[in-house]
Amino acid sequence: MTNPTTTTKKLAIITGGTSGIGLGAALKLAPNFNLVLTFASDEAKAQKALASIKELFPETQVTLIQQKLSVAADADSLFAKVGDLCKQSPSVLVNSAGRLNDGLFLTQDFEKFAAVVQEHLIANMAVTQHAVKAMYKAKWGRIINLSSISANFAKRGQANYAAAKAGIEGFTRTLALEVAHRGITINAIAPGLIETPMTQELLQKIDSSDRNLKARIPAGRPGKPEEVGALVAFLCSDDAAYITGTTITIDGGRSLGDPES
Amino acid sequence: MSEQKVAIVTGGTRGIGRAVSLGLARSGYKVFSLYGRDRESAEETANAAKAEGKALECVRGDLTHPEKFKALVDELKTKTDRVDVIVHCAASGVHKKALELSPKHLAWTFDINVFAIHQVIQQFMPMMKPGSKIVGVTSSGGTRVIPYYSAVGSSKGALESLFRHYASELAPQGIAVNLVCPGLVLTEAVEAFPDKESRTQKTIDATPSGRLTTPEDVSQVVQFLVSPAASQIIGQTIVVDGGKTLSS
Repeated sequence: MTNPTTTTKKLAIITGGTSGIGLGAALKLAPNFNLVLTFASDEAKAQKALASIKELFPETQVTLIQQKLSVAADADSLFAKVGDLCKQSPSVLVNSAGRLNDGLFLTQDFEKFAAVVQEHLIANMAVTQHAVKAMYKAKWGRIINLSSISANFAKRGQANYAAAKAGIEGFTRTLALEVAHRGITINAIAPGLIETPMTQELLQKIDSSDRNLKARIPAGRPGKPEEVGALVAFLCSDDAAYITGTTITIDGGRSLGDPES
Repeated sequence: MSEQKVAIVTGGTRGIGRAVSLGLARSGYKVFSLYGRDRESAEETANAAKAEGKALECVRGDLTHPEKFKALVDELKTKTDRVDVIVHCAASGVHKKALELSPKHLAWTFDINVFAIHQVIQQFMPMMKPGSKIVGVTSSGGTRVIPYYSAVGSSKGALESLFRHYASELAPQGIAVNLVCPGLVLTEAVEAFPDKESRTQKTIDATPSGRLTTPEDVSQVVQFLVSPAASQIIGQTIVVDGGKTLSS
């Protein structure tokens, strides 16, 4: 895999970059990019993530920025901080911040419902608008959005998450069309079940139930954040320059059908 | 040209095909229900229509044998000078894992599920006027993995693509081509599944509507698709499965 070979490493911003898939992406981008990792609240965890990256890649500049990304205005704050702390403008943006708040649509408080869509879709778009402006000037850019197989396959209690993720895929296609001529690619990744803090509770439930979801995944196991990170790294490389506007599923075959039933 | 509209239903004497044939007959079509071997089912279908005073004739023929196919087409052309609707319900297949499929198994499955309807459409196209409809029956196996379904699933995928191309080419002539995609229907075809009982229960458990799909469910959607109300629906696959495929 070839990668940008400038003397100074380009800058990659990873929202939610200190945990889960975001951290998996950080570890895979660290050899070739300087990193900005955003986190919402857990400073200790962020410092731990920073240390784990620095241990492996001491040359890579890693900047931690505490910034919640719940609404569009949070993106303005984030980019003000990036401007203060970094000499470079971002060449890569990985939008992986976001939490689950499942609940049946009929009974969930609408504010809570809307907050999930705000966080996963609207805040993501706002961050992207800041980043894509810098990339447009630089005539090179990579944007990776995190969708989910939930965008296309329904799960009770995830109307908010599914709506946001389906929105992400439509957003990805359209923006790709608008900026492709400037050397900017924008793609989405749709993971299946990945072992992250976000899915920890779910994984424990599966372990203690007889549903045995793991048996429904043809690969026979949940995925690892680094495996999603490797796909992020590929999409950020020059080798992937011709891939844009698409959603790539990474789910061990889970969404192919029901291998058991 | 005769007054009464005419429908040809392949595999029209059993399972979904029988329900579609009877549904079209009740809607006022003169129906030719094609079948390959099972005379008894053909008689039952013909008698059911007769009891209601509907125009339905079962015609035997082999859609996969070149000479017998020609004889069938010739026979149908002596019986009708118009064709308004073609519904392809005939389907067969071998239930094996992909690695265990011989080329012969796969070719035989494609012969009936794909190539047969291709030839039927080509033969009768000159008799089809603007407003005519063609409907195919596919299954979720066309896009999703189902155990032991590699032969039928791949043929249904091919059928869907073929029909999308037909839809695009025939729409300018006012002919609408679409597909219906039923969930699991308890027909004789299901009896051939090696894991019939466990699969049936699992399917019910995983279906939001809480039941299997019936031939009548499918027939009613076909009736809609062949109606003038559906004329702007072109090249689509309508899923009729109680919500089964909504979940991964």
